[in-house]
Amino acid sequence: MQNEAIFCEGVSKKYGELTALKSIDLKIEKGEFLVLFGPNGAGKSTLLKILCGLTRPTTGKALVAGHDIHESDIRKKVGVISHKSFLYEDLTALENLEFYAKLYNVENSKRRGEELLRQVELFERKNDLARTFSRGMIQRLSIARALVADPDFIFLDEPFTGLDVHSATVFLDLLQILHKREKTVLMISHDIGISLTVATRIAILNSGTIVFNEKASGMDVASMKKVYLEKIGQ
Amino acid sequence: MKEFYEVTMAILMKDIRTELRSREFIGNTFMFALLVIIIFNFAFKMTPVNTPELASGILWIAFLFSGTLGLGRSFQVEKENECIQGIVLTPVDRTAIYWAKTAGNMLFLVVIQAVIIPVFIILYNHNVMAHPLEMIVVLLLGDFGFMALGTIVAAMSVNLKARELLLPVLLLPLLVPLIIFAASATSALVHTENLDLFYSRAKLMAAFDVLFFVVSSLVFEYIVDES
Repeated sequence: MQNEAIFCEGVSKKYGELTALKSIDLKIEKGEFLVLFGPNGAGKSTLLKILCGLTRPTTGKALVAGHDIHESDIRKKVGVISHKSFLYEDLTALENLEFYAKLYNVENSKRRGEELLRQVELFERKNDLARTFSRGMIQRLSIARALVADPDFIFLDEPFTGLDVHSATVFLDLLQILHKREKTVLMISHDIGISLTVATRIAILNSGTIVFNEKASGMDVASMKKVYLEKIGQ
Repeated sequence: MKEFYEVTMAILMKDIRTELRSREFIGNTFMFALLVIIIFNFAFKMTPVNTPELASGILWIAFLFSGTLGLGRSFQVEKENECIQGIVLTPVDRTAIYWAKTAGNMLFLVVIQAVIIPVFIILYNHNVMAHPLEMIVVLLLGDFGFMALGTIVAAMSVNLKARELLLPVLLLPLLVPLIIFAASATSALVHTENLDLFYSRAKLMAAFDVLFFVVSSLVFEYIVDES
């Protein structure tokens, strides 16, 4: 059994003739915050989908805490924030969180929902339907949904997209709190500036291959941009 | 087992709550079923003699087509914002999702029938509930088989481009035997009053229900896991 929090070995994914991932090897230690950069179509979202169990690799193995994500027990320890919110527009903010808390078998789902709504500064809107929320509020509610079972592993796919300054700040603060609590985070992002404030490791995926994987310490925005452009061949 | 029950109830209650707010399943399905029975009332020259003969066919056509319309909607709700992925990411037993969706779809169809049948009785001036207990049995057996199979086909077709067309094309041929027996059992109650025929048809319907439900429960996991 691997000791890494997240472990990928020889992970490939094909969609018909298209190869999205080519034999990916990736290890993320417990408590690490890895930010994955890459151009559109590089295979970042596919890798994240494999890690959270939404699709299976064509070849290779992907383990979370040493387990196949398709084993149901490990799913309770994983929180995912995707492009899509996974929220029901005809349920209120609190009802959405209560619903997901019940699916994760969280005790006292209402209290947990209210606690999370306070953290993402949406408590005042707890009884409003999700359809009345702005993009930023939906994203914050989506974060609360992902954290409902207090997961040890958090996967985020471009979480800052479309966020206003306030929402981005709330979200960034929350990410820093989570990181301090030793959560293992894998975040896909295009925003080098924001990402460097939270990342402990940086990786770059290009054309289905990891072309860069280094510790983030000592990197600034300018040097990271230079490395990024160099690695994607621009 | 307790966890399975709680998850099933959580999904079912969520479906009921969202439906009460949007009324998309019940509202559209009811209007469609109502239109079908009104159109048939004008299309055929209904008389006290031919009404009992035609009643079972008209009723099941109304329930079948309107129910298929509602089924398409039931998974469309899960597709909006990819909520189905949100559920699949949780550690829930996939069978619980199927049971909850089937129960919800059946419940909504029963609500429609509870309104449409009295309207039918008034419009056609023929009491199709002369054997109420037996009629309820036929309706529930028909609804259960319809929704047990319909839910799985709706889940399969939700990712397809022409899903509105493909759902009935995939579903209706598979439902033909069940609907033939349902119409036959209904006819045995409202037309010929042949209770022996009703019992034999009801048994066949129950057999189809078990088949549809067991097979769908077993394969649902594979359908949603790559949704």
